[in-house]
Amino acid sequence: MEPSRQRSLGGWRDYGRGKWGLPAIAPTPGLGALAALAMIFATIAALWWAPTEKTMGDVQRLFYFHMPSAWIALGPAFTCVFGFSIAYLAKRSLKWDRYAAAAAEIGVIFTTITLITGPLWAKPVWGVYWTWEPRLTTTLILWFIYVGYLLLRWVAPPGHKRARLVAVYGIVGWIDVPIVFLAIWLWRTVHPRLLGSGGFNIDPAMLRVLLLCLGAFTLLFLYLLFVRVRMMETSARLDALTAAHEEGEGR
Amino acid sequence: MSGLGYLATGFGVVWFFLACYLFWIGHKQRALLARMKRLEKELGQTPDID
Amino acid sequence: MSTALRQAWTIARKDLRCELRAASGIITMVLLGFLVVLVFSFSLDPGTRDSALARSGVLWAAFLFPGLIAVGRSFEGEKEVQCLEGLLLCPVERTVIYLGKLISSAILALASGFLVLIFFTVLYNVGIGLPWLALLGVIVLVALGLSAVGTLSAAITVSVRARGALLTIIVLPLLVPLLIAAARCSVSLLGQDPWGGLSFWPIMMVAFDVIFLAVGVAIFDFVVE
Repeated sequence: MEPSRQRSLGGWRDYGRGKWGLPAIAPTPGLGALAALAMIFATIAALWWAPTEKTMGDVQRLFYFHMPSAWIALGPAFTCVFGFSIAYLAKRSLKWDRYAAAAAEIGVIFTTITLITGPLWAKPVWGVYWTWEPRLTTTLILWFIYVGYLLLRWVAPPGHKRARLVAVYGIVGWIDVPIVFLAIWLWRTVHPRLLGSGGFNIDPAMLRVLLLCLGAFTLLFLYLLFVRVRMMETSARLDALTAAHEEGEGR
Repeated sequence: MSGLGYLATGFGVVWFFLACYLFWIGHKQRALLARMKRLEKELGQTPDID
Repeated sequence: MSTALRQAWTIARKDLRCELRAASGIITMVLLGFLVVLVFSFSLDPGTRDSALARSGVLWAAFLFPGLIAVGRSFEGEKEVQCLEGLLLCPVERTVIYLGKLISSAILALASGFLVLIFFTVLYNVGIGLPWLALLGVIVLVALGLSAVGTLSAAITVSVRARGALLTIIVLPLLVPLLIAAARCSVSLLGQDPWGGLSFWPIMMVAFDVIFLAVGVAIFDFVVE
């Protein structure tokens, strides 16, 4: 057996050996700390620094978490799934499959956050939980597509075949979402029901808080993406090592 | 429920969700670490996971 | 181009012949559609004049369940007797297989949809005239869209566990634009002013079908490598 080179694995051995008592195979711990700080600041900013909205009151503060997570889920996360899926089909490296899966997973989390904060904001302000508003409804469909993606990944045996199948689904899903939005928008505009989404001109102080929250969520997304990919890589690598070892033993 | 109630619930749920996710990640990482340690014992050397 | 279509039609014919031989598949599909119409009717008040909205819902639910079965069966049969590998060995382009299966499942969905529509018409005393024919046209468009997306999804899910339910979960969110358009059309056609509410929705259905047919043709190769 060849001796393995003791390469530094993002410092995992120190963490793992109990340096801080935290088991971690965490790449980019710096990014993690930054993301954590940013999220804490974002919460404080949303709850205290942001000015209170005139008509909606304090509940409007949910918007500072609702909009960034919606934006990240609908935009970067989902487009990452699309992009990484194409990358996989082009390059056939499982790395891209893992990135796509991680992006989808975090996308589901953020989409769920959007779907929870949305109604909680809507109910006290407009009296109803759900208004079939185009963006929120599209987010709901998006949730189903993401979850379908993850389910497909879950029941298929791991490997290149699974990667291929989910990549196709990831691509088709992404193409579908703008069409879904268009259809829902046309539906709701032609027959306007209840109330609109209540856009408001954004005050500069509010914009600052919003941008801070957006930045925090972006950092969180990136950090979680790298962590999850690293975990999947490690798991796959351990599987390979175990299999090779058992094969060696069997001989 | 007053507006503040919804606000508190909203932020509470968001942080709860994120905390659950992070906790789950930590749990899976502990499992990975345990596998690494077991493999290290069997192989007699640190598994090269890169 | 015409050879491709001819080959696709051959595959479609084979599938349809299989389905007709073991007619249990089609019969269960149609019966399911009828039962859906029946069961959902209990929540409605059939006498009211302006229940076009509710009746539309019933119609599409009754169409979708058999339709999804039709789409799932196009690959299921192959999987069971391990014909899929044989089919792939055929010296035809993979796209032709996609088109063939698409055509056969569309025809099946359309056939059961047509029968369900008749049952629906009788139960709800829908007047037969031009609007009714237009409704049939809507069903044709939905069957095509369902098959375009569904055949692709069926190929994706054919080799995994729980493929029946998973197929439905995967197909339905993707079909949302088509379903919205179809529902809007049927609400209009079943209501007081049949042609007024149609506006651009038929165009959206056609566009959807064209787009996803193109996407399916382009991407099917990757699914059945």
